[in-house]
Amino acid sequence: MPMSPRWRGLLLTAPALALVAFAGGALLLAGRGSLADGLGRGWSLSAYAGLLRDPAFADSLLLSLKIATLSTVASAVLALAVVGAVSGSRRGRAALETAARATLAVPHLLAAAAFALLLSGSGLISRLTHAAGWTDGPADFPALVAGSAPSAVLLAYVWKEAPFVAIMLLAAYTPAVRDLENAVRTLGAGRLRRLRHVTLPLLAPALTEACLLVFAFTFAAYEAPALLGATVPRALSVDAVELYRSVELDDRPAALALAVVIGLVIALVALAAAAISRRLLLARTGP
Amino acid sequence: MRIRTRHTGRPAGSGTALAVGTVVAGLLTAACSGPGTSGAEPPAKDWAQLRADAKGQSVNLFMFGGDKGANSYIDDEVAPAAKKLGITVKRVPVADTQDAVQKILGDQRAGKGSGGAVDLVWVNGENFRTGKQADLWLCGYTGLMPNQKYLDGTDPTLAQDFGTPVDDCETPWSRAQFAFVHDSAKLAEPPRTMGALTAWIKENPGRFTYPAPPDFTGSAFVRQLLLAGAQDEPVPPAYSKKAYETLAPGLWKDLNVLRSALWRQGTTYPRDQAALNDLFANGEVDMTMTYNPAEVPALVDKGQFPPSARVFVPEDGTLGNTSYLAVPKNAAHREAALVLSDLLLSPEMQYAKARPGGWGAYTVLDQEQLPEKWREKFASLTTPETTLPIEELSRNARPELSGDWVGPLDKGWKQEVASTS
Repeated sequence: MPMSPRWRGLLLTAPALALVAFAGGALLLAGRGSLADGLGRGWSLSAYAGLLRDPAFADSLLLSLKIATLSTVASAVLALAVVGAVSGSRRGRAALETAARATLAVPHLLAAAAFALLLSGSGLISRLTHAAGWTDGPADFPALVAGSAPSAVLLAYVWKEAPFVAIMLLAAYTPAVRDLENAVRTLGAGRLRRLRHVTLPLLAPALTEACLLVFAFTFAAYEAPALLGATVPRALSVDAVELYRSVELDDRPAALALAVVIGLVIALVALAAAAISRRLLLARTGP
Repeated sequence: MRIRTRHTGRPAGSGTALAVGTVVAGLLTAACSGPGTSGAEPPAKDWAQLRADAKGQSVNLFMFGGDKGANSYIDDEVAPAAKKLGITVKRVPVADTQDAVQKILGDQRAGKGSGGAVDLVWVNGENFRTGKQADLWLCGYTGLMPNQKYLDGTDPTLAQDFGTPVDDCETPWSRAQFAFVHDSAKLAEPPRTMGALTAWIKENPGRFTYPAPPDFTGSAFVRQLLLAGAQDEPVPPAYSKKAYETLAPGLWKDLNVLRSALWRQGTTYPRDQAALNDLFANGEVDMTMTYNPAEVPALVDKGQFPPSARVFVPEDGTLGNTSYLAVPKNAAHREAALVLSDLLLSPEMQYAKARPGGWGAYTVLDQEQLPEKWREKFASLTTPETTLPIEELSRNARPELSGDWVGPLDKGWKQEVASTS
């Protein structure tokens, strides 16, 4: 007997729902742990009170927001520019797609380690500038890795995330979009007008989605800021992992509280993105 | 225990409530202590029985995986020797001993009173203390071990692990001594005292740094400086809030004075000892430090450190400690873990560990107690020129502070030194 469409739909979404439930359950457990003592017993808000009292928490939160926002914006701009540049040629598109897929295959940890080898004081680029006579030694080279600005972290993220955004955009960049662009071009619209009135609005849903994913990922990811970040301030995720691994049992609730904060920020951004994409959809289709 | 006192301490309104309360309290205590007490039971067997039970078991030995010498010692020396006793050794590398303790804690929280994944842990200091607080370790077995007779029973460094009484809950394994490493080709004469070292750091800006606590080595450096800076006011080994508040401000002042002379003006620090070793290997700084000077020859052999790398200890002495092997209460292969702890204490295994070319870690055995044959073998050990013999390293050695100091000092460093940069 054929399955009713309703059941079929539910069955097909079940794996995704299970994953969401799993993540939600983990967050709930973390929430419970953040309200308990080091051994997971009792109820107390002291972990959150401790976070509010700790001046380093605000610094970490700001740093994480900065890393996530800048990586997202830079990746989006770069991806838009590259996709826009190659969209006209079939060969260019294929080349971009191949290059982007190859970058996607590199694990974040490996990318972070590679950027450490490239950009650190005694890294490859520093050695090259030394050989070229531009710097006298490692101390002269700008502190990209572990410096006061998270330069290396941002570079590593943009290198990893821009190709991801590009692939999302390429998928949305259908022949229909190109036809519309050609249509307005014949009507005399310049490059910027085309971008503003045709390309961007049509790619906006895909771009919003990609940006949300990049933001959520770079806000919560651990490897790059752990390997390439400074001692202080540290990204929230690095702080959370270190606190969780601390030998002081009392640090565990604080670590879990940080995990909850990370989850909340991502949930807020996801809500905002959902609102934006709904408005975009309404703007396109009309009320 | 906690639950029972809370319940019986509650004033009872009526007979029923009291009865219910007692039953609930009884159930809760039983539920909580059920696996706990059975696990706490010392293995009340003689050693021969234990050996027989251990046959065919495989021990999951959790240990820091970043030391190549330690890894090959376990794989090449210990595993074959254990095989003869019918025990398989599975080395489980962890990035930090904390991870092993967290795993046992996780098992314990999941109510796993037995059949735990961790059978034996290379542990010491604050990790041992944390485990003891959480009641994780199996205790009261060392008296059974045949090889305990080679230990010096009066040695205070074997009775306390970072100030935490060992209380028969772990077996000594190796000795370690904090030391510095310099490149003799670039810096022929390293500073001879801690005072001279800090003076040297200030005279050579940008050429020295230390790993950011809570890295084990970085944390030890901070304690080393605390001990060196407080000569007129001795640091009490036992932690107290009062002692911390008296001594810490001076330490933070010393470290903050040094800061601008550190690598990258102290705006950032290497995240761990491996990162500092890389800076040293790349010539970005002139010194590195280690709590296991025996690893230096291997690092030179590997080509990471230059052949001119040398170990030095300030004359006023450095921190020293003993590391141990502990068995979690809920270990799945407890018998084999105990037999293996004893095997690792045997003169054969201790010698194989101390042998240069092997791991090079220093023995915990008391030479006086050893049979003539082993005493001679240990006496004939030579030390590669890249490191120092234990007698020289441990001259004026200072015992480690209580593990209770470690947490507050690490946190204080983060707030008072790292944050102000």
